[in-house]
Amino acid sequence: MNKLILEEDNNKLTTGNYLIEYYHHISLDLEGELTLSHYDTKNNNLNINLADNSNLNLFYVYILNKDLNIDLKVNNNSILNTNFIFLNTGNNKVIININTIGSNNKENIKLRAINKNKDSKLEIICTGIVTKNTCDNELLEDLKGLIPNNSSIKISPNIEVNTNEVMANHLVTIGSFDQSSLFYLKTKGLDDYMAKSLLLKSFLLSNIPAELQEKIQAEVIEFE
Amino acid sequence: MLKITNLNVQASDKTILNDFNLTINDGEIHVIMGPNGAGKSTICKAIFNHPDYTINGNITYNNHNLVGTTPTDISRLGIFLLNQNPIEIEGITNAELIRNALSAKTGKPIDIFEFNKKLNEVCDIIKLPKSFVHRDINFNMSGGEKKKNELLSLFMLEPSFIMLDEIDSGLDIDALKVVGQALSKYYAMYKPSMLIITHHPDLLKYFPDYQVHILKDGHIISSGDKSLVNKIETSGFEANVISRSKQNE
Repeated sequence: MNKLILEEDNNKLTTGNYLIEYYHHISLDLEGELTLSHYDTKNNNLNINLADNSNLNLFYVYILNKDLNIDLKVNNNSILNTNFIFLNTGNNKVIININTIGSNNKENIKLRAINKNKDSKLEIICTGIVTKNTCDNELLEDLKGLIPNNSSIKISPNIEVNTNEVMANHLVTIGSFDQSSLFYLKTKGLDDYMAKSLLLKSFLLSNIPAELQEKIQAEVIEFE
Repeated sequence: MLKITNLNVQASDKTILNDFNLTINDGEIHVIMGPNGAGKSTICKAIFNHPDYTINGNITYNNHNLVGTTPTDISRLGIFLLNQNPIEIEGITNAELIRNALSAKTGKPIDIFEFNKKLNEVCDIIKLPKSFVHRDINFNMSGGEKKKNELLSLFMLEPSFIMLDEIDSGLDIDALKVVGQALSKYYAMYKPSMLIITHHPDLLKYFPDYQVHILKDGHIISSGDKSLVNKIETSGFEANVISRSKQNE
C-alpha cells in the first residue's frame, strides 16, 4: 500500500492501492483500479470524480466531530464500492451524495455508524441520484447505525431516479445490540462490556483492511 | 452437582416449565426427551438465566445459586451450552472469542504458544480443518460445521457441566459420528456432568450409561434407565407415560 499525503486541493490518482492523508477539503479525480483507505479525525469534505472504466474500493473511517459533506460522481462503465465508518462524538450531520451521470455502473454504498458518547446525535442523509438518459446502472445503499447507549442516530436513505432503466435499492437498520448474540457471547464467559466491544468491532470492521482495523479498534474499545 | 427444585419458568405470561425438578450428580449423564413444545430447550436457557424468562424456584450448581446470576458468571462456574442452531457472528473469529473467554475465566493473559498448540490438538480430535480457528463464529458454515465449530469452544474451555440441546438435529450420519465420538472422548477425558436433550437415540450410543426423563407439559412425568429410550422409540412417548402411570398406581 502506498502512503500518500495530499496537500493540493485537486489531485489525480491512477491505478493503485493508497493509504491517504490530507489536511483540508480535497477533490480527487480517479481513474483505473483503485483502493483508497483513509482515517480522518479532521472531517475534511470530500469530492470524488470517478472516470470511465474504473473500479474504486473506498475504505473511509471518520472520527466525527463536525459536519461533513461527501460528493461522489460516477461516469460510465465503472464499479464503486464504498465502506464508510462513522464514529460520532457530539452533534453532527453527514451529507453524502452519489451522482450517477453515465451508464453501466455498479455502485454499492455501505455505511456503518455508531455514537461513541451517551449524549451524541448523528444525522446522515445519503442520496443516490441517477440522472436521465442513462441506462443499466445498479445502485445499492446499505446503511446501518448501532446505538450502544442512550444516544440518537437518524439515517435518511434517498434514491432519486430519473430514468426507467436502473435497478436501485436501499436498506437501513438502526438498533442496539442483537440480544441473541450478546447472550451467546455471555454464555461463553464474556462479561457485558467485553461482549459489546466484540459486537461493535464485528459491526464496524467486517471487510475493512488491516491497516485501518488497528486504528479503529483502539477507538472502539472506548465507548460509553 | 446441579440441583433444580420447584422450577417454574414463564415467558410472556405463558408458563413453560411447571414444578420441574432434576438432580444431576457429578459425572452423571441425564437425557431429557419429550414431544415438541414440552419445554425441553427452555431448561437449558433457564439454567443460564436467559433474560427473556421469568424464573421462580431453585437452581444450584455446586452450591452456587444460579437464579439471578448473570450468564457470564454461570459460564465461569464451568457450565457450557451447545445448542441446535448456534448463532452466526460475522467479524469475530473463533480464536478471538476463545482467547477472550479463557482470559476472562482465568484472569490471566493467554500464553499464545500454548493456546495455538491446544487449538491444533483439538482440531485434530474433532476433525475440524485448522483454518476454522480463524473463521468468523459459525458464519457461512453448514449445520454440521457449526456443531463441530462449537465443539472447538467446548474442548478449549473445558467445562464441567455440559448441556446439549438437540445438537443431533440436522446432522448427517458422518457428522453425527464425528460429534458423538468427540463428545464421548471429552466425557472420557474430563468426566463432566451432562444434560442431553434429544428426540433421537442415535447420539446416545456414544455414552456408556445415562438416565432418561420424559418431559411433558413443563415437568418430568417419567424417569428410567437407558432402556427407556428403546421403549420410547418403539411405542412413543404417550404409551410410555401411560404405562408408567399405571405402574405407579
